[in-house]
Amino acid sequence: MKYALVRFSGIYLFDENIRLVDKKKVEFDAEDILTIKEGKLPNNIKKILPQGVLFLGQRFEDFRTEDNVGKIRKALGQIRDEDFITVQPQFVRAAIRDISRSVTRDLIIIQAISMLDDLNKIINLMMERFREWYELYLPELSQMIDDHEKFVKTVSGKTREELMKEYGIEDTMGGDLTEMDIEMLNNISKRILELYRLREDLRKYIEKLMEEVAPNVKAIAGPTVGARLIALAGGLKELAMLPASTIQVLGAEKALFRHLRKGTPPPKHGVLFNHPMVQKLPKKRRGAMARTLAAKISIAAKVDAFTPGKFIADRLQKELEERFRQLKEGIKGKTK
Amino acid sequence: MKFRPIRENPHIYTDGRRLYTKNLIPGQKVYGERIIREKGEEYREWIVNRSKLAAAIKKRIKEVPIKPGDKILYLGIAAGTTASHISDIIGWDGVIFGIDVAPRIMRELIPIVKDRKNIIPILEDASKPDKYLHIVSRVDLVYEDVAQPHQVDIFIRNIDYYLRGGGYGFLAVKARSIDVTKNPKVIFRDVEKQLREYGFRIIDVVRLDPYHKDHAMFLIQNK
Ligand SMILES: C[S@@+](CC[C@H](N)C(=O)[O-])C[C@H]1O[C@@H](n2cnc3c(N)ncnc32)[C@H](O)[C@@H]1O
Repeated sequence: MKYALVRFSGIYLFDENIRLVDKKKVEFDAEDILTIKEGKLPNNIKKILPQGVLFLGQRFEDFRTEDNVGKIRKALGQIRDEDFITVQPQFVRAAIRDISRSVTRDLIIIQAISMLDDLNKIINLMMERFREWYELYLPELSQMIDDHEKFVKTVSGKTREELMKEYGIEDTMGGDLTEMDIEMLNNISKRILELYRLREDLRKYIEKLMEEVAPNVKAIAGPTVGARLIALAGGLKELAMLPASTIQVLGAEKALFRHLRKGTPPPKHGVLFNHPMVQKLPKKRRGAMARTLAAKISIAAKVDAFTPGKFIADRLQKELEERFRQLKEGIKGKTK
Repeated sequence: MKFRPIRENPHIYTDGRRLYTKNLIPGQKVYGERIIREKGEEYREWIVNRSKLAAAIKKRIKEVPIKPGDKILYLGIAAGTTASHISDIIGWDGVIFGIDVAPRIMRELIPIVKDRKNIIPILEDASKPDKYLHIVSRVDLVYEDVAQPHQVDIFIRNIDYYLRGGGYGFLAVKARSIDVTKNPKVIFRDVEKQLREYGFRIIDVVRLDPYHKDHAMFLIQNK
């Protein structure tokens, strides 16, 4: 006996010519399936395993593996009469647990940042409608306050007379609304203010989550930009595995495809465009800043994903600031 | 009779326009398809826009080598849209090993396979075929639809491990997931060359337009 193969129906043993010589039946449950997935041998199999066998293709802790595909094929070819339908429910159970285990905290970040983006769109949509509606009542004020949030805060709970006095509006082009009309406007403004508060709560929540899950990325990219990068990559590990050049243009996929297909200039930045260090530079230097930033974020993501608890962002931050200063002063240099 | 088998496969039916399979799990809908009852049988519509295999059949791929009792390795099973029809065809004596790497989409497969016990769900990466050596057996057919840049390598590796001699392989190729800059035609020719050089017999290649834009289905037979 030389080779072994663990199957849900038992353990199969083969000689050096991959001829099946023995089969020991084992009962398999969902737990055993997950144990095997983790590269460990379930106890009930360990107990009956002969000494010194080589596993065919399978990798288990403390055991050696034979990777020759021809041998694996030959072994599989001799396995027959397995009852798949009967064990199927065990595999379903294992898959359910597997799916459940795959819910990591970075997935919550992805949902939270997506909700924040949705909320921004919703608030904007509602504010545009609210303003238009409110302009039937007091158009002059809407023209005086451009900022949506400030506008809704200002009008909420106040009468037209109060507002006219406060803002020195003598005459209005607004119509005479009834009590019922005004009440509805007030009702809406209150709800929109609640949405603004929800947005604030979400921001703080994302900040906390980022601190917990990806403190290095958070320190370098900032909580929202960092969260967006994680979302675009599909997860923290996924972000950590991307090349820095891809991180640099995450969020600019459309421009990137246009570049690849039609040869238009490549994008210089995606969501990194929103990073303050990129924003504060003149247009011509932003690409260079985004490149350095992406390189540092890539390092930060690797640390967060693979050595949680380690903090190196202060060092990265210093290097970034240095590069920022160079670019600001117009000294061209190589990315560190 | 309203439903008759298609020429390429006696277990796939048509009413002259649409494709159907006989529902293995009466009453179960998988993706919002129509179910039509006739003479005590339930026919489940196989929507060409939703399934690349259905589109390939509609575009008259030469053979559809799937029969009752077959064992099938399905790479990229997703929510089971196509797999459910294969499951109808192979019946209770067959089995589908359904591999997918994404937990998110597997979540949608689970409720379906609770009744459809001839599908075994396996949350793994198909580029590591040794990860399912404890369950996947030698199979009659490998079906792959993973929409990944290295999809041909994944196909070949899995065939090496699991496909019996003379067994078949369906490979759905999405040109854009291999290279966005190249003309799909060029990509399909490269794929065909790669498959031929590996020693497979190419039975047929059909473009899936207009049902699936810039997709092609390859049907091969193993040595
Ligand atoms: C286009 S969908 C398949 C649709 C399905 N074949 C149907 O017709 O119902 C592609 C699937 O491949 C899966 N996939 C991608 N890469 C994979 C890999 N390396 N291993 C396993 N599954 C993969 C994706 O998660 C996705 O669910």
